Formats: sequence, structure tokens, C-alpha cells
Amino acid sequence: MTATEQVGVVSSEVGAIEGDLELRGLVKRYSGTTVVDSLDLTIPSGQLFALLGPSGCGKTTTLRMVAGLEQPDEGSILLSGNDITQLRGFRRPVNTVFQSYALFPHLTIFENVAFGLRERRASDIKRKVERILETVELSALAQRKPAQLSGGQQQRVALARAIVNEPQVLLLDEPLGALDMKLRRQMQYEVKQIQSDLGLTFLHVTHDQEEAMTMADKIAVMNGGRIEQMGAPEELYESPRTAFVANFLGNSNLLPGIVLGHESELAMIDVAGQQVRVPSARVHATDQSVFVGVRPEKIRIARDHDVAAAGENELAGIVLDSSYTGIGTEYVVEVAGSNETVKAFVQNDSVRERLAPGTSVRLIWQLGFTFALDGSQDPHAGEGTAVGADTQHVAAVGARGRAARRKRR
Amino acid sequence: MTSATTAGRRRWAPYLLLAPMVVWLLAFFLSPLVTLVMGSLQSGSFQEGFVFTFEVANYVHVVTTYWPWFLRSVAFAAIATVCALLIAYPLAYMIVFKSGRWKYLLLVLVVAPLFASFLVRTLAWTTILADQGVVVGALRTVGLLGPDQWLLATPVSVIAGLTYNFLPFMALPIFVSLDRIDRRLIEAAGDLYASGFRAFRRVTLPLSLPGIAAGTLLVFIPAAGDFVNAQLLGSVDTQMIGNVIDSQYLRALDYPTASAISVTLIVLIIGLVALSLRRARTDELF
Amino acid sequence: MSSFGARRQLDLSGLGGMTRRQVMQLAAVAGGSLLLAGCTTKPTGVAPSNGSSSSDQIIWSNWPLSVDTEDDGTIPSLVEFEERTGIRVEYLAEINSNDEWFAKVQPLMQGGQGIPASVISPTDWMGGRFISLDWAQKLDKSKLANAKNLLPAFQSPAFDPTRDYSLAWQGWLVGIAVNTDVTGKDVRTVQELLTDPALKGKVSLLTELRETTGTLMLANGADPGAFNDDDFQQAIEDIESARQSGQLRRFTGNDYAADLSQGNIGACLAWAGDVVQLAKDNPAIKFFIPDSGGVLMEDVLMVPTGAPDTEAAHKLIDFYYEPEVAAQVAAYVNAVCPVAGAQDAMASIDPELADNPLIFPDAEEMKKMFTYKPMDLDENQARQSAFDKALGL
Repeated sequence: MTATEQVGVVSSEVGAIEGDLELRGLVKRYSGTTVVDSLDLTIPSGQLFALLGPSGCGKTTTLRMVAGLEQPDEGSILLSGNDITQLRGFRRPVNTVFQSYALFPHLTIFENVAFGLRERRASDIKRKVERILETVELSALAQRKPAQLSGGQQQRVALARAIVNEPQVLLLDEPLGALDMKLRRQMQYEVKQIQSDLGLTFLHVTHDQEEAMTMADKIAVMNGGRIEQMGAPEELYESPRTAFVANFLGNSNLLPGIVLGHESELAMIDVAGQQVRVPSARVHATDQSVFVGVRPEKIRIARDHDVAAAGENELAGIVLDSSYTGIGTEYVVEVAGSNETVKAFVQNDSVRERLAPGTSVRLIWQLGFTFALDGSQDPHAGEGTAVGADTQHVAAVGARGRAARRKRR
Repeated sequence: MTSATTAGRRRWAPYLLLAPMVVWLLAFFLSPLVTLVMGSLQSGSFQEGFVFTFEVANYVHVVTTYWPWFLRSVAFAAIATVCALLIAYPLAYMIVFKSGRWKYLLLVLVVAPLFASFLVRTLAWTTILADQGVVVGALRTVGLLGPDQWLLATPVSVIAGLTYNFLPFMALPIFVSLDRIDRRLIEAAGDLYASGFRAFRRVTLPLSLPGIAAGTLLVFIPAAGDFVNAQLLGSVDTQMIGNVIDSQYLRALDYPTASAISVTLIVLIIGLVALSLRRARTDELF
Repeated sequence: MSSFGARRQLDLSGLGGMTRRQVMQLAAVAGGSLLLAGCTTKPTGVAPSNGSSSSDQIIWSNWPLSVDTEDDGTIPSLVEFEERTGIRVEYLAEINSNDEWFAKVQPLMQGGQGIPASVISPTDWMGGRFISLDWAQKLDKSKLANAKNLLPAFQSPAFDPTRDYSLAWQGWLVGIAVNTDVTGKDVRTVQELLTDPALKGKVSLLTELRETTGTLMLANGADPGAFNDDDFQQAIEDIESARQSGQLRRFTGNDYAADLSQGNIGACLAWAGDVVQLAKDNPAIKFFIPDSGGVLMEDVLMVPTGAPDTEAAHKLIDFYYEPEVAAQVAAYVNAVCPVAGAQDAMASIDPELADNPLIFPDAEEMKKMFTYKPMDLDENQARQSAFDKALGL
């Protein structure tokens, strides 16, 4: 059996890798629980595609099914149009960068990286390994053993070991999770560089929304075994379609409201007795009951006497609490005439007094940043599960504010 | 407290901590060993008494007279070690990777024979290898044994006994080193195009070498000095050096010769072990 | 970056001003001087002093199952002894072979401490060794009223002609055990055992020097009680030819029982008492005193020097010389019983055994039984070495 037959479809040149990865109706169940629920996904070739979601959402399981480490209960996996679902893992032209790196402790770095090449009896192993080690800047450590390397270096070896085989798809299973903040940011950049330089298809699984947004060309947000929304980072961030996506990526305010009507491509929505306009195209709901969403950093806080422009929404409110975070100030503002609170993040880009609690203010933001979501879902879905301290902090501030209000009343 | 006294106390501390172990080693290891060596250099007889005369001639006598027994013992022990390895490795592998929730129960079963007395365990082989038994019957049917041949009281039965008695000591270290292997490494090997067998060959096997090395030592060293198996399952032609020591010490009451044989055996085993460890260089595995 | 942290070196320098090397040397010298104490060994060191404290517990060092034993492990005769005298006897079944037991007790006896047992029951030749080393106490015959029950045949054995130090405990007769299922016939002569081609590879001899060479010497017409070098040498050569011809499969202790029952061995030298037991389960197994005669060994009752309680020891020995008690023991052990009157007492316990010539041999039977001459340590060593060579050692 030749190396080619053994491994399935394999291309021989870097950059000429072809073919999309298609997941059709994948289902996986573990002892009664459906972990991956009828997943449909197409990952175009040459992209860094992120599969983003909280722990337990099924993203790692999906990855393992593509790698061949798990068998789907239903559905199929196609690579370059070939159905590889029945193909044994070691025959698939797919490589994985594991979360734990899984470097072979008894082999040198060189041998670790050369492992896949040797198994496929590839030609010119020495040159290929040396080249990739140069790319990841580990040439000097080729004769060391993994235990002698730092975490960051091991991570790069894991990357090199996978990439050197020129797989049609490279799977990354939260590979940066074990690194400290600074190193992680650096590696995010490096991995992205390598991917775009080599033009390989990367499927990157992570629960870190910042990481996904930084690196990915396209993101699919997964929750409970299903895909909530898929698209480019900007699209997901600026125009989320579910509360989960809105809360999971960054932070969002979601205020309950009733759709009163539409006029000239705007939806008029009653929020706590005040009116908010949302571009109709950004209303992702069919019923009258909706959640109006706007992200905290889009809101500017104006004093009573300031006036909103025509293309802006406006809500009156009272400051409950504020906290200084260096870059900016987070305000928790209670919407006038309701119990709802709005978080607003204001950059500290001018010398200004911090607004004291109890101050009457106006929350003003551009129409185009508003979106509306179906009112029947849980507005807190996706909160607190993302990596990013902001969400938790703001939630705590909100709670303090509500408690303070209760004391006042 | 002055800095001088605390400094002084710090100097004594390591010695005090080492003291219990040193005393234990002196009492139960070093002192019997030295007594043995001293005894081997004595001359005389039980009747007249033994006197320390630095009788190196004892060693000359031992080596020239008993080298065939030394050779036989090493050979039997080596063969038994290899057999134990060939049986224990697949056994341990099955238990670690294929037995699911029965893993620890099966492990206990492997060790369980050790709870029976070695006499019972060894005598069981007279039944297994009996002339009218299943094994001999099968071998006769296949033609490997003639009708006038038997397995008991041959090197085969002695080695079988040795292998069986020491099998748990080979299986346990291999079990431990296999169990320690991170399964994700095997997954990674598969991810890198290694089939099941290749992954075993390139990842699992090398990572289990420390266990194999440990098991080899734990089997070979006691097997070389064994005398029970040869006594119960052997014949005149299969006596091992352990039996010779036994008879010199207990029956002939020739303590110097018995001691000299013992010391020679110790030196021989240490030499062989050192040689093989140097070749294996297991310390360079990780 | 290395992940192996620098290990702190243990600072062993500067102990009281000494360098590490000096500390090691000191330890070596200290250790060494402890050992030089045990460097020279002489067999007759300080003889242990005799004790005569009247405790109510003594230890009897004996072979396993050499006394009447119930299935649950209780010993009826000792229970009776305790009821009568108030003395509790711990039956210590620690003698599995005379040589092994000797190796265990020798340092204690030599060092002068004595052993914890007040009564010991090794085989006669080992008892003889004890006597020669001054490790056995002279028995106080005034305290052994029942000693008169000792059968005449046992009254003056070569190792203790005046029975000053011992009484007989059990008699062990060596003969030929046969599994007639394997051999298809009886085997009554040593000649047959060693040369009959029909038995090729199915024969075993005993690892014991006296039992085996004694039987073979008898077959050659020599007297084991008074043999010379040529007689002994001939026996060794007989063993050698049996081995070379493939007649002899192996040498055994009493593990011949397993081989015999399973048919691996067809005929072998064995102890009568064992075979009587085997024959109960398998009637195909028979015992024959060789036509040329069989070797008779006896286990003794002796009191070692330094025994904790000599008084109680004498009471115990005397107790077992009551005919009823002796019969009770013989019914279980099935060895030759040296106590007169026991045969009559046996009639009420187990009439079949009362007629068993292997337990109660009559005068005719006794003519076929021979004892082995005692040997001093030097001769023992020489004979033993020659014999062990024939065993492949």
C-alpha cells in the first residue's frame, strides 16, 4: 500500500491544498445525552475557522470526529468532496494540535516533528523538518527532549509537528489554553501568520471569544451541540441573532421591549415607556415581544441638556454605579421608569468628572448599532461563560446597583 | 540562640535524618553481607570449628568445581525471564488497554497466586505437567514428545516453574509503566498516520521499556538463585546453584564453601545486571 | 529553560570538624567491629544452663502432624495431658527437615541461649549429633515410670545405647512404594527398582542420605549399621548407573506422594507411614519392605540443654509411654509404635490397625528392619558430600 493510498487524498505541495471540509448532519450521543445535535457546517479551504463555545457545547467532540478519534452516530464528514466518515483516523489527511500538546517524551524535537513524515515514508524528511523548525524558530532545540522545553516552545513543536505533514485540514483543540496571557496573545498572532502564509485550512476550537475574534476568518458559535450563528467576527459581534451570541461575544445590553410598528425601514419599539428605533434589517425576531440590544461601548452618556441627533436612539436614566477601569469608566444606569439597567462603557479620553450615582443622564447611541432579538429566549444566555472579566464584573456591578436601589426604596 | 548554634544544628540535621535508614541498612543489609564474606574466607570444619584464615582458595575451589551450576542457573533464569516477558507483556497490555472496568480485578488475579504458599504453587505443576496430564498428552499427540518421554523432572518443568512463580513480578512493573502512558500520546500517534501496530511499536513499547527493565531485574535476580523449583520439579541434571548452596550449608555443614558460592553468585548477578543496564541505557529514555 | 530544578546538594561536610570521608570511614570501622565478633565459630561454645522453673506451659518441637490431630487442628492427647497435669503444651511443628531445623537451632545452642522448646523430636541421627555436642540432657529415669514400656527392639540403639538421653517417639520404616496402576505389578526388590526396564524413568529415590544409601547397601548385602567405604561407594555407584540408564527420574523428599498418586512415578523409596495414608485413598498404592531389608529410623523424645522446664518435659515424655496414649497417636500417625501394650490398646480404637505389621511389627518383621550406624560430624560430612554429588549437587 503506497503512502498515498494509506492516507486518503493527499496533496504534495504546500499552498495547493484544496477542498472544503463539510460536516453534514453530525450527531453524537454519550450515554443518553446528545452532545452534537445534527451539525451542519462548511469550512472553506484556506481559512482559519473558529469553533467557539462554552465548555460542554460539543465543539471538542466535533473536532475529534473530524480527526477520526470519535465516530459520529449519524451524519457524514466530507473532505474535498470525499466522504471520510468511515475512514480510520490514521488514514485521514488531517492533523491535530492537541490541547496538551501530546509531544512524545522519549523522542527528540526533531523526531517528534518528523513522526508523521516517517509514518508516511515521505521523502526528504530532514529538509522538511528543518524548514518547519525554522518557521517556528526552534531550530536550535532540535535535539532536545520535550521535557526540556518551556510551555510556549512545546506548543510550537506541536504546531510544527502537525503542519509539516501538510494536512488538508489542521485541527487545533484549544492549543493556547495552557499559556499565560502575554504568550497566548503572541501565539495567536503567530498561528494566524503561519496559517495565512501557508494558506492551510485551520479549524480552531476555543472557548475564548477574544481569541476567536482575533484570529478567525470565520466563526461558528456553538451551544448545546448546535450552531447558534456563523459568520465573520464583525458580523457576529455587530449583528448577533441570538441572546447567546450577543452575550457570549463581548457584552451586550438586552432590554425587553414591544414592537409597536414599522415605518421607513425602522422598527419602533417601546422600551420601558420610551421609544427606541431599530433598523428593520437588524430585527431578528418575528413576534412583538423582543429584546433590544446595544453594546455598552456604543453608548455615550450625555447630561440632561444634551440632545440626541436624528440618527440616534436615546434613553433617559439615572446613574446607579460607576467603576473606573483605567481605559474607561463603566456606568450602570437605571432606565427611567423601569427596573432595567443599562451598562455603558465610556472611554476616558477626555478629562471629565465621573458622574455620581443619582445623576440624571441620557444614554445616546447610533441607530445602526441597535439590534432586536426574539423576546422569548433567556436574555442571560451566554453570560459569564465567556473568557473576559468584563461580563462578570458588570454583572456584579449591576447586582450592587439593584441592591442599592432596593435599600433606597 | 546564637547563629553559631543554629548553624551547628543545621550541620547535624542531615545526619540525624539519615540515621534510621543507615542503622537499618547496617543491621539488615551490610552486616549480614560482611558476615557472609568473612565466613567465605574461613577454613576448618564443623567439628573443629571454623577460623578466619583469609582462605581465598575457597573461591578457587568454588569457581572451578561449580561453574557448570552457575552457568545452568543463569541460563535457566534467563530463559525464564524471557518467557515471563513474552507472557506478561501481552497480559499487562490487555489489562491496561482492553479490560475496561475489570482492570483492577484482573490485576489482583495476576497477583493472587502469590498469596498461596510457593510450595502449593510449585507442586501444582506436577499436576499440570503430569505424565497422564493434558499438556503431555497434547504434546504426544502432536508428536513433539515420544511415548517414553515426559516433561516433569526436566529443564522444561523447572523453567516452567520459575516462569510461573515470578510472572507477577514481571507483569506488575509492565502494568505500571503501560498504565502511566498518557492515552493522548497514542491518539497523537494515530493522528500522525501511525496504524494501531505502528503506534504501539513507536510510542507504547518505548514508553514501557522502564517497566520491562524493572520486570527483567525482578525476575532474573531471584530466579538465578532459586532452589525450590529445581528441588520439586527437577532432576539430578537440573540442579541449580541455589540447591548447591542449600546442600553445602545444611547438609554438608560446609559453611565457608556455602558462603563462597553465595558471594560468587552475588557478584555474578551484579556483574550481569550492570552489564545489561549499561547496554540498555534506560536512564536516557527520558 | 530547563524544567529540572537545581537539586540542593546535601551538605555532608563539616560534621564536628570531620570531612565526609572520615565520617564514612568511622561508620565502616564501627560496623566492621560489630561483625568481627561473629567471625570465629566453634560448635561447642558455651553450653546453655538448664532451667527447672515450673511453668505451666512448654513447647514441643516436632514434625508436622506427627501426633494425633483432629481436623480442626486440636490435639486430643495434649488436651488430655493438660487436663491431667495442668501443663499446656504448644506443639511447634517446626521440623520439616533435620538439617534445616539444625541450621535454625544451632546458633542458639552454640551461643548458649538454648532454644525455647523443652522437648524435641528430631530423627535419631540428629539426636545423636545433639548428644555428641553436649546439647542434650540426661534423662532422669526416676521420673519416667513408663519408660519400661519401651519395646525391646528399641532399647539400645547405636546412637544412645543406654537410653540415657532419649526415648523413641515414632519409628519410620523405609521401603518401596508402588503404584500398581502404573507398574502393573508389585515391586519387592531394590534390584527391580533400579534395573527393571519396565520401570524406566518411573523411579525415584529419597534425598535423605541414610534412607537411600542404607536401603541400597542392604540390597548389596551390607549392613547399614556397620558398613565400610567400599559398601558405601558401591551404593553410590548403583545410584549413578540407575541415573545414567534413565531408570531414575529424580530424588524426592516426601513430595513423592503427589508424583506417586498421579502416576508420574511408578515405584519409589518411601516412608511406610506416608504410604499407609496414601493407600487409604488409592488402593492401587502399596508398600513393600524390600526383600533385602528396610532401613528403620526413629524420631526421638529428648530434652535439650537449657530447656525452660525439664520437669514438665519428663512428665510429657512419660505420658506418651502409656499404652493407650501411644495407641491413640499411632492410630493417627501410622508409624512404627515403640510402646509395648499399645497394640492391645489399639484393638479398641481401630482393630484393623492393630493388625498392621507396619505399625506393630512382630519379631519376624523386625528381622527385616535395620538401623543406620551413627556417624561423627567429619564422617557425616564426607558421606553426605559423596551422596550429594550423586544427587547432582
